[in-house]
Amino acid sequence: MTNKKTAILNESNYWWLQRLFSIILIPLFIWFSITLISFVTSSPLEGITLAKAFQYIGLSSEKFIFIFFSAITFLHVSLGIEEIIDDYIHSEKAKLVASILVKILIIRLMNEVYIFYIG
Amino acid sequence: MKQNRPLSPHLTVYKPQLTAMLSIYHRITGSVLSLAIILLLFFSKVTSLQLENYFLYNIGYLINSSGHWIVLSCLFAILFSLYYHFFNGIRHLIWDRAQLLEIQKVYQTGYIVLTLTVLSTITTWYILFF
Repeated sequence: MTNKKTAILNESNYWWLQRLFSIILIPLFIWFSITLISFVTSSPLEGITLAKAFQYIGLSSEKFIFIFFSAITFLHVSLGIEEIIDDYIHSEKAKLVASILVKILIIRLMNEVYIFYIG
Repeated sequence: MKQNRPLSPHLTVYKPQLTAMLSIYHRITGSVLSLAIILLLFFSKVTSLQLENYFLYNIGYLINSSGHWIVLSCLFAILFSLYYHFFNGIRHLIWDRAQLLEIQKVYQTGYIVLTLTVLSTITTWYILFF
């Protein structure tokens, strides 16, 4: 979005993509919070960690919705951080470096979630 | 960088209004939540049962089971940011359809967002811990 020579998206498509991800995330977030809270309340409270809750979701039949939810979440995060970088960093080179690094980090995090909880 | 030139005061004299505070808080919660995703992923990997290093597992287990007020207050802050970002995001999407843009409606929806986040975090906290 930042530099016209190296940007993948122009500003209009970026705006629509961010709105699309936000709209898709509304029911997905409601589903995610309901499953997490129901998992925590339906099992004995000793020894519940966040890892166990995610592993439970990853092993149940709802894992495809969980994959979809985490993918859309990470893409939403990537576009949001891109906008913050575009606002607060004032040199074109630093913007380019920062946006590339953020995208690599997001891909690495998606890989981590998939390997650790699902694969 | 340019030399330090004198500026008239901007942030120190402008009256803090609900519109500006909620808008900047939306961006702040967005960035805090993205950091929280990284931290929670790393932390849940450290506290998992498949870790071969007993030292790291022990650290994670002690932090998780201690119930220390720093850990619980961080969790409460992350929960509050999550619900606030969700409800204010819905408010932004309503604005993108060019609805509820008058100043009275902006203030009313702002107060609705704040009460919804407080209610949601309190009920979630109550369900999780009591």
